Amino acid sequence: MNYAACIAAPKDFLQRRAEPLAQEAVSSRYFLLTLREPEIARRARPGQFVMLACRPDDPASCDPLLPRPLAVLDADPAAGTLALLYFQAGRGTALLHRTVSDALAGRSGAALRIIGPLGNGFTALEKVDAHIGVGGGSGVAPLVFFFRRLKAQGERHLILAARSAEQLARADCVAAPQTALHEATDDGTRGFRGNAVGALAALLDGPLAGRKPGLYVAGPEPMMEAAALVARQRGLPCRVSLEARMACGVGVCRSCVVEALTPHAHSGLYRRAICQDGPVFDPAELAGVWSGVARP
Amino acid sequence: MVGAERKGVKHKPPALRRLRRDRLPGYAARMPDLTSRLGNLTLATPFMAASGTFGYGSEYAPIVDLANLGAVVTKSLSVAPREGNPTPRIWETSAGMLNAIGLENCGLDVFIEKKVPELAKLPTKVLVNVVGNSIEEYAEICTRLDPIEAVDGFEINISCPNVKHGCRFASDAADCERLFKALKPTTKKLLLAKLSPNVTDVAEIARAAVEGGAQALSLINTLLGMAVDVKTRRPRIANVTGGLSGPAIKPVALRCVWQAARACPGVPVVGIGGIRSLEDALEFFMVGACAVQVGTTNYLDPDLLNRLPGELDAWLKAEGYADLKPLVGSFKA
Ligand SMILES: Cc1cc2nc3c(=O)[nH]c(=O)nc-3n(C[C@H](O)[C@H](O)[C@H](O)COP(=O)(O)O)c2cc1C
Repeated sequence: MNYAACIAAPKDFLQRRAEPLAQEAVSSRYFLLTLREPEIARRARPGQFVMLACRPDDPASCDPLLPRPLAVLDADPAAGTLALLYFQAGRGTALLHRTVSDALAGRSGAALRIIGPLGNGFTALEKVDAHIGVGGGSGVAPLVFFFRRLKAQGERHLILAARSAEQLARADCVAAPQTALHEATDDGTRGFRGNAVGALAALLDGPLAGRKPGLYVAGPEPMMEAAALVARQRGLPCRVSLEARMACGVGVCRSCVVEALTPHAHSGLYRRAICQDGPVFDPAELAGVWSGVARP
Repeated sequence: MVGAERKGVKHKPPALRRLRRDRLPGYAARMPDLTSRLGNLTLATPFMAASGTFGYGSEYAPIVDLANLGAVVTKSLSVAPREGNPTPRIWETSAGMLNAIGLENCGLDVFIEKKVPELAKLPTKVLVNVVGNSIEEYAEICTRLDPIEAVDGFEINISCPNVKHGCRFASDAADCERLFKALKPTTKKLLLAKLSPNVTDVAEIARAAVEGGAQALSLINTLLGMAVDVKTRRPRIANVTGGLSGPAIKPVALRCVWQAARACPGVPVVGIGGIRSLEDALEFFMVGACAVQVGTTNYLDPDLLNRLPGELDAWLKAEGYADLKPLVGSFKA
């Protein structure tokens, strides 16, 4: 029986076991993981994420205990597959890599517990004449998915940044139709020499001077804060896709919260759960560094 | 055997048939009875969702059939809204996690206005977890929620490790007894005392809660802990200390449940702490719990709550038990 129908809050997400089909290193830090999960593939929208177990499902294995939030890179409803581009960041993602390798080699059970799709994704900004994605780290996947599905009018630019060339994901994994890819590296080994925000300023002052683009930002927090500041200073609409340590992904554990400038319609609290109310936010609606305004 | 017994009673009138079966100890001819009694409440199954891990029930409704649960326990509720602690609020540990959420919740007024109508639709019992900084605050919540039909009972959280003064009722037997004495007249609904493991003698606090008027006990809340980032020499969570939960705490939880159950014979005890499978739940039943709550596991395997009733049913059948009675407290030290 489906009680979801009679309740206002819940979103349309599922829990499933997804079978890994392929895993490929597409840079020194990124892995492209393809899973078979037709139902989640059918529902996933750009900017949404899944909670994926790093280990096979076994009550005796509880380290790491928690699943990891991973943004969707692409979904193919016809093939029933879901692609994730994950950035190897810590123990969980390192273990995920090993788990999938073992599964593909037939050394362990194949299916990984997955919950999703979760969160509210990106929607195209209105009243803009261009769309600029600014991404790095684990923020690359949601942006690429967004540009691949984007239907709105206007020029498209995607800035992807990393420390150096070998960390940048392979170009075919991040390509999107009619979208100009701008790579940036801190050490100048490929593309623009400097960080993502430097590349953004160069784009805004150069080819896009005098235009009114919308910004879509996802990646490391300092990068997103700096990009939100640029948007504020130049009066450009902006969306950031926030990340935080998460346990549940559905809004119940309250670990991934961020402060907003107005009370929440359902709780009256100034906290927003990144997993449930986000992960995509208008930084102008958030408190502190995001908007430059302290919470009332 | 079962087939022969069925044949043997075939021609008997229905009343007699029921009578005969009842007389056979531990004989389960049909579906074992999974209900569990907690004070004046009958739970459809002995499995509940733990406070702080299941929101207000509806968040998990797309993937958990709430009819599988005996009850949902809501996130701790305080009189005034609480924004909670700064972030980061959690840190994953070996087989567990630390949290210092700081009891973020909407407060009593918003709860009544926005959450109660949603809770009323849930196809399971609802226990409201209550937290306060004073006896008056606890009493105000019980008093105002007592007339609300959607609320089936109260789990009184005396044990949150993350708030100032929060531990007074949890660690001082006299304070604890005073609290329940004050709450008893505010409600006819179930008063379940949720105990902390962060005490010298959990049995003493258990007795004090029951003495004061708690009809049942639930334990354990999280164990106070911390974790350090050795690169920065700073705490992993902003609050410095936090509550440890998950499989790592199960042995401590079992010990506490066993001690509380022995200290308070006849008082229903709800086991909480690290339950990740039916086998874990059986351990709690055996040391004296008549129901259990699943907490941290909801984050990684929310489907466990869907599977547990069927798995318990199969286990009881295999043991030839008609209900939970021969299981609860069957542990032999
Ligand atoms: C993130 C988180 C938040 C929690 N919030 C509450 C709470 O608000 N009130 C409460 O009484 N217990 C709270 N708990 C404790 C759980 O209800 C439970 O007692 C504890 O986690 C042990 O069970 P477990 O090991 O199955 O998680 C919380 C636990 C976690 C992990």
